[in-house]
Amino acid sequence: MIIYNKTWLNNLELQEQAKQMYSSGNISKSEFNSIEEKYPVGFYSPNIFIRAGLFILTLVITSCAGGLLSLTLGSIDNLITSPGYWAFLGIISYISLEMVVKTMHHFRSGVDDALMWTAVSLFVAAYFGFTDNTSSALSFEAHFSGFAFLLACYFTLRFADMLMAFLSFLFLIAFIFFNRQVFGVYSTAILPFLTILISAGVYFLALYWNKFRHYKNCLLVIQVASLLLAYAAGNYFVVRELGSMISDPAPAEGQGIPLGWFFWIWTIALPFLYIALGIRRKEIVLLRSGLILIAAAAFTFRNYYHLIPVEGALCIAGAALLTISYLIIRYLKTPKYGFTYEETDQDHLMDKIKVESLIVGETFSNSQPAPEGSRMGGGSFGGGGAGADF
Amino acid sequence: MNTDFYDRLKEEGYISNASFEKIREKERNPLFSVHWELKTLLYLGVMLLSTGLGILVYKNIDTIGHQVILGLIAAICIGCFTYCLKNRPPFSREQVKSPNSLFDYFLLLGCLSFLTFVGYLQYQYTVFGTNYGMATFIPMVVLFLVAYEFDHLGILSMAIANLAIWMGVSVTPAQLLSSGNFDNQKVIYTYVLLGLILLAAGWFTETLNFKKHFRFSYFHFGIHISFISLLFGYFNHYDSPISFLWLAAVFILAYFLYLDALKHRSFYFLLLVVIYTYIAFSSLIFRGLINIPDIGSVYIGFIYFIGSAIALIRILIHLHKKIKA
Repeated sequence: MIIYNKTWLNNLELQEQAKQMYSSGNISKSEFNSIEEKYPVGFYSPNIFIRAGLFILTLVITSCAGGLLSLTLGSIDNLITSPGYWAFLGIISYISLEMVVKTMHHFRSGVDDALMWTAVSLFVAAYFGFTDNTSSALSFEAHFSGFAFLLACYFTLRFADMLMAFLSFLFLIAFIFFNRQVFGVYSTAILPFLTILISAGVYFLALYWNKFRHYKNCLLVIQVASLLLAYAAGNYFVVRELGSMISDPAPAEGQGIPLGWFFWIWTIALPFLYIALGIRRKEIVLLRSGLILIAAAAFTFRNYYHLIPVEGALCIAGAALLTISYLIIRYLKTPKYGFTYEETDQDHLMDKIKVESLIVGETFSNSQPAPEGSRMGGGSFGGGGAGADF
Repeated sequence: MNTDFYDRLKEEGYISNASFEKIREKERNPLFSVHWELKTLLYLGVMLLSTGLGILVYKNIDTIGHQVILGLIAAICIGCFTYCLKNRPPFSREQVKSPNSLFDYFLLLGCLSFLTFVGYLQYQYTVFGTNYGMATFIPMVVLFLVAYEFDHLGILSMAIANLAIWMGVSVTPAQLLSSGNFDNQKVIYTYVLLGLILLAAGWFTETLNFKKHFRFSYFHFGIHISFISLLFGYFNHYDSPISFLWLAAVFILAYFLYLDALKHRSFYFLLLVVIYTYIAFSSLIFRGLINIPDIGSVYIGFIYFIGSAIALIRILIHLHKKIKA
């Protein structure tokens, strides 16, 4: 099913391992080079900058080629506005995608990404067009999410794309959400539990599927997504607000919801459970999801119980975070129980563009006291020009 | 970890016994790094605390005594700097590795609280009077000094942003595009000057061999600002013949930066140069096409974009191979 050369994919994985060993100083340069020669990878996969450039340029090409074609065919009645035409364009993009991957061996090069997304959006547009005027018993979302799920699944299996994997999981949940009426009168009540069960099922399935090594990254994304969604489905805020949106009568302001205690426990305890499991099993996915979700839990709690004003909460949270990390760093000065504070292997590319410094620069340089009346004021900029170029 | 893989490699003689033992040793004692988690926590802590303090000051400006607030902020600032001075590595012209991330983020917190402190002083007591240049000049100098003294790239970015504020504009690329007011010619000249100063600074760090790794930050901001301001200069003078001078400046700058990027094997800067040059070149082509009052020009436009993008893709792939080789 997967389009890429499987030997190369295996070799790529071996090379990545060898690279880690090399950068952590366990094997020598000549050893690394001979491994690279022994297990060659024939893909064209440039680094992220070239990839971004190729992505933009390919989009320019596809949109202009589509425009040119539509311009030539524009004289034919209703052709270029018919959904069949969009599907036709989508099929052309898809064929060129297959060709680029098969004959030119592009692998995450930007060209294939751009063609894939062009094809997908054209297929989606065509689906919109086809179902626009057909009246059916199902609401539009109900069958659209099913279609999108199948489409994303196909692209995940064929191209092992991470974003597609994420979308396929999302649309699976959306499909269940929009088709909940099949569960009868109590559909709203069982929806949170159903979503939790399905997310948990998908999570364990993704763990089990890890033997399909070519889809390793896709499965990782699905694991993260299912962990987060399992939390969200039982989060008090989500259950209450979403529940009141889709059911009537909505609960009044300040009124609780049935089984409220269960959702509160879920909201507060699950992040800590994730973290504890992550630490015990030394699993980065669980640990990071847990850390993110603590913030979600804090926001949920604050939304219903205002104990202290926001600036106080910010100061206390900030100080607490600094203290906790300070203590952990001190504690892990020498590695304990297999945990270390040192970086085990550095990502060289990311190091090169110094992402961290840019993030710090971007987020903190706005908060400074702006000089009153900057010396060269001026009206707002009208926005002519640059937009026309692309 | 794929154990069989290393067994196989060893049998085939691709790795030596010594390396094999090292790998085995590593496998027996796997280390789980929580480096990035802790770093993120530190970052969030600093962000929350400085935001919280900012709001606290803003809201209570009339109720608590000013001295109390000022004292609190000064205490945090002094505390952070004391920690950093105590733990600092000795100064060097080369890159100095910071002792740990704790150091980095305490330094950051110190600088942020210093900025709040100065801003508050100016707001409440107007220590600098109406001399706003001075009120922004001092934080900028301090930030640059700290960045160089403690070798901190994040603070260097902040210092560059402050340099821009001092020159009367604001610098982060996102703001530049969203709220830039380019209709004022003076502003464009300021931007061009700023961009060139930053590029020159980046160039000097290398030729003088003084903190060579700061070059990236200077060039990152310098390239974006120079190109964007030159292009806006061109559109601003669109109807006068001078506009072509602006465009010529874009191409000349692009040429030098292209050589520089090749020399340093920097994909990022190469990509920026290629994209900005493409925008400039395409706007020139467009200008010619718009004057043809015929539907044919639209066709030519489409064909131009298809052809030029294909050519550019080939160029990028070629350059990629050239740099990698």
